[in-house]
Amino acid sequence: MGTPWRSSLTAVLTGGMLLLACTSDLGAPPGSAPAGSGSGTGVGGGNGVGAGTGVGGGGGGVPSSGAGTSSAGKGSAGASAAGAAPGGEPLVLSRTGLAARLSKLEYQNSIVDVLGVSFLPAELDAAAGGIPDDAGDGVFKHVADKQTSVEQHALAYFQVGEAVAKRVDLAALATRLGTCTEATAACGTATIQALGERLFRRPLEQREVDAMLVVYNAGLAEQLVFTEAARWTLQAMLQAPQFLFRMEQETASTRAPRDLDGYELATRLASFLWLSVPDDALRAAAADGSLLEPGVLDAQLTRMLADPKAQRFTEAFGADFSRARFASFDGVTDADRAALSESMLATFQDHFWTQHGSVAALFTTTRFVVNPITAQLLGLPASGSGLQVADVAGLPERVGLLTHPGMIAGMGDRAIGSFVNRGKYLMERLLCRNPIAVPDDIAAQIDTFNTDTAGLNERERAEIRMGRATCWSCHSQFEPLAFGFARFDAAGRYVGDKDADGKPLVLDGWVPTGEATEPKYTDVKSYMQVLASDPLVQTCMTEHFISFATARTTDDLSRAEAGDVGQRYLGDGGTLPAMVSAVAHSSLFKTILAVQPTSGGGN
Amino acid sequence: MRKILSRRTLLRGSGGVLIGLPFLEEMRPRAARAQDAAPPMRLITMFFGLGVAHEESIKKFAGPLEKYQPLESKMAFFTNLECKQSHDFGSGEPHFKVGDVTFVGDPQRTEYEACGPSLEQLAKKTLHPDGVPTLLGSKSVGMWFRTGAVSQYTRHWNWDGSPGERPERRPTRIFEQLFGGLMPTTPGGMEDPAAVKERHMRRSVLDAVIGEYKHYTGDASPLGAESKAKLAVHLDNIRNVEMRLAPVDAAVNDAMAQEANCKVPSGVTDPGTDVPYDLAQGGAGGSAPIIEWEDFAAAFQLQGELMALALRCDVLRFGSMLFVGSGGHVGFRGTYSALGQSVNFSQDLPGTSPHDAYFHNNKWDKCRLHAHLCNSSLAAALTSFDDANYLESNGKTLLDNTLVVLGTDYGGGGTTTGHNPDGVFHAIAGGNGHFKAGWNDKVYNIIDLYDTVLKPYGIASGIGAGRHAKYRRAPVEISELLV
Repeated sequence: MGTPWRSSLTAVLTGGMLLLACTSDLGAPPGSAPAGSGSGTGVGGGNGVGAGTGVGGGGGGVPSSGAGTSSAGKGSAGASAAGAAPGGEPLVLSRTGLAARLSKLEYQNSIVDVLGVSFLPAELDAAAGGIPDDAGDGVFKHVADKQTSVEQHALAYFQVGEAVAKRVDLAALATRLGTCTEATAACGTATIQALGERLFRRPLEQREVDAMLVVYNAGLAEQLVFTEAARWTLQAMLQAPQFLFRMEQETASTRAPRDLDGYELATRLASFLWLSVPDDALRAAAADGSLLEPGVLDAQLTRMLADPKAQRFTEAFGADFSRARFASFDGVTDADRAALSESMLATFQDHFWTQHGSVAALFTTTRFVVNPITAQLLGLPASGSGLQVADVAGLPERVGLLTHPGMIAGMGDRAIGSFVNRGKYLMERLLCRNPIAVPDDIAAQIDTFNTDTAGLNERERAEIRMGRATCWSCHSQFEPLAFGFARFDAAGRYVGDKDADGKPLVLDGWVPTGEATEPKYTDVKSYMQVLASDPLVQTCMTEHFISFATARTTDDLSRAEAGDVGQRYLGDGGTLPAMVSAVAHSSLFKTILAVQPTSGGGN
Repeated sequence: MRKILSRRTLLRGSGGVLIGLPFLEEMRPRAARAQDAAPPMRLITMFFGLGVAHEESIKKFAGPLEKYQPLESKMAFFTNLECKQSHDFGSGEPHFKVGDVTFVGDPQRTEYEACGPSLEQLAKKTLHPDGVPTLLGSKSVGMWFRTGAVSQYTRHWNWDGSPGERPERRPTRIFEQLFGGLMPTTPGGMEDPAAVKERHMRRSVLDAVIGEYKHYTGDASPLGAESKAKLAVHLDNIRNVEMRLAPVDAAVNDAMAQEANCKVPSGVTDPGTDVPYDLAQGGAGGSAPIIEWEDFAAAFQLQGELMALALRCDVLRFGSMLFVGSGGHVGFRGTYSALGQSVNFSQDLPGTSPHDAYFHNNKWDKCRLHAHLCNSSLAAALTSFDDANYLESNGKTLLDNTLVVLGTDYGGGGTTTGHNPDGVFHAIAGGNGHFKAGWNDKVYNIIDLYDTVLKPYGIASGIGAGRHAKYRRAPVEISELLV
């Protein structure tokens, strides 16, 4: 590659993030995770107080975000930042690779797009033994750093793969692929190569062809016809690691960043924008190397975004960003969750694909797409069934996607709309940070807090916490984010400007960007305007797109990259295509930090 | 050719009429097994949440541990263990920190991620590096409802410390997962040529798949260490279910030809009418549904019976059971009476849980009854294992021939403020005659117990020896436990 680089654990912190260390007044809590040791976020304690967890930044350091800079998942020293060469070459940020298991959606889409078969509901229902849901801490559930594997994965991939393969019209597929259908080794080889290139996202090595031919030939030995022998072979391919995991050439003789090759880049692009495999045109551009040229990459991005499959990415992004499908409030039903999720996603999609809105404008839009359940929660008359566009500008304190009932209901729990839970949720999404763990000596105080403050409303409780020296340093960094939502209950309904005891529900607060109690807001409208314009918040939103695209948690590397990506995005008009282009051209997306091989392993 | 009846054949009966049988009779021919064949090594962990106060556990059978008394000759009780490593080297919510350590020993590697395998996974992999020769590698079952950190409910930790199988709650699904693989998929039964062909092709598929995973986790792999480790976990999971997905003929015959102890019912019914067995999420703050305690306990008892049957049928040899996750965040309903007292869950717990209402409000009398409920349920599971109607080839019960390790989280209670990693309760049950029954109130670390109980089986636990970057502790052998 030729671009010099140096390791940089602290990396570049864009925007001058100056968050106070939560433990600077308390001393490092015993046994805090060392810096860069991976990540994990807990959820709020049962008492609704700050039992959240910190990630990777060490006990006495700055509250960190996502995986530490030295970690690409579980503690390997995986990051580097390239400094400027003597000739002033640009900074190159690069990350070690990490095999990413296909998300559930990506698994589904890949099979649908290549094989043309659909799934039965039970095959996608984790509770019924189908493909497990993507789970894990953090905003996005498909990130490679957070994936775990359980036996159900092995079982479901086998059983669903077998069932799906049985529904494939192998003869028609062979015709489409241009391969033959005689029960011969030649037809088997051609089918394996054609199918494999699509499912594995690159041409197969001879070793791989031979491995799959063993299955095919076993079928012929059992006197199976071509379609049946090919069917069993397809089953093997659907369970092979080359299909289930997106893998890249991670090793090299020296540790240094390198550009992805054409197939690797095509795979990342298809995963990012289509949640699927590259199509023929994208693979062709990978094959002749043209995809690595910026102009060709731009043309492919334009083509891919024009394809309806591109809406999969914003739908997945919006689903994880909002958590509407996990809406939690008293009396909530599965129908409520489904309706809130439907409306939230429809609003999100409408904003980007119909209105061509910007990321910043998500915070100030007053155009929601609602169904009857959502309309009721908004206090709007429900006219007819299905989704309809609604203007919420006239509704009190309703502005921006964050005030959509689906977003609010996904923030917290129970009837009271805990400020702590809402604050932590918003901190993760707006500032790309998480609170660190509660020190043990504080935990005992938290245990009795709710008892001591019975009868007070959430804002009053928050004020008490803010007034305690031992609480302020942490809680000031996330609770003020929740203040502006005080007039919405856990379901996202507007409850008025007074609580049930007649006490005023005040809305003023600030966005904790590190500058004491600035920038301030006085109501929801001013709050959303702050979010739409604050550089740190917009940088965090850019980090989320980088995280989604690279399937890695946000960290100092993505923050360092977000500055350049953000500038390019704004320079290109601030639209969704501009964001996609900026991310796709970023070094974190297009390069990998190669590591030296390790020996051993296998099983 | 040995004739093996299929369950479908029997159920269809003559003329295609379905015959409803409450139980299937043993219809599989006896295997040609040596009469003195020793039962295989089995290890099951059992966990209950929210602990039991040391002041209560030392009351022995006059306290919450009352229901273990019929099994006292087969159990060793430890009432004063400590697990300071969960605090000294852990971060996160206290009860969940202990969840990372229980049945693992070393402190967490990162928040809510264990440092290594749980005991049953350790034993499984050490004794069967190429895979357990049973239909399932292991099984995790339990009754729990608060979600959030996986440490709350995960007791199956993989070799690399990542969380393994989430405990399955629904008994009907457990039944299907344990016994569904025994049934043929072709009408003609296991010896049908189509079934044989299908088995051979499935085997071929799995062999190819496993071969590819071996390539990508081996020396020729293009992947770095972390990616290899990730794929290795997935390969391990394939290994665990391999025999179920594609059993080889010999194993099929062995699985089908069980001892008389393997009587698989035609089905089971899930207790309770409003138990949310399939609840995926408990809400961001961890609010849990309110469940009739009797249904909760009944479901766990059925889980215990199914696990016992699976062990007798040699469907699996390793597993974990969990009754209420760490911290006790389940909202019960109903009145529970024991030890001359009663607690009205319905009155105390709406919108909260024993953790919030009792443990952190110093309601130790009610904690006592919660602990009684938990331990009574574990005792019921042990009783299922100890059924003398099903003696094994050595004339002993399943419990005698299985190592069961029972544990819980904090022992803090009484006059303490809780979250105290001292006075933690654990017990051993069964254990193949390697252990002395009795009570032990000496202060040991939990790793001393874990290391000691594995020694008679020739398993070097490796706990404390370097799995954690900062934690080193040579386990102390509890010699008084060993025969």
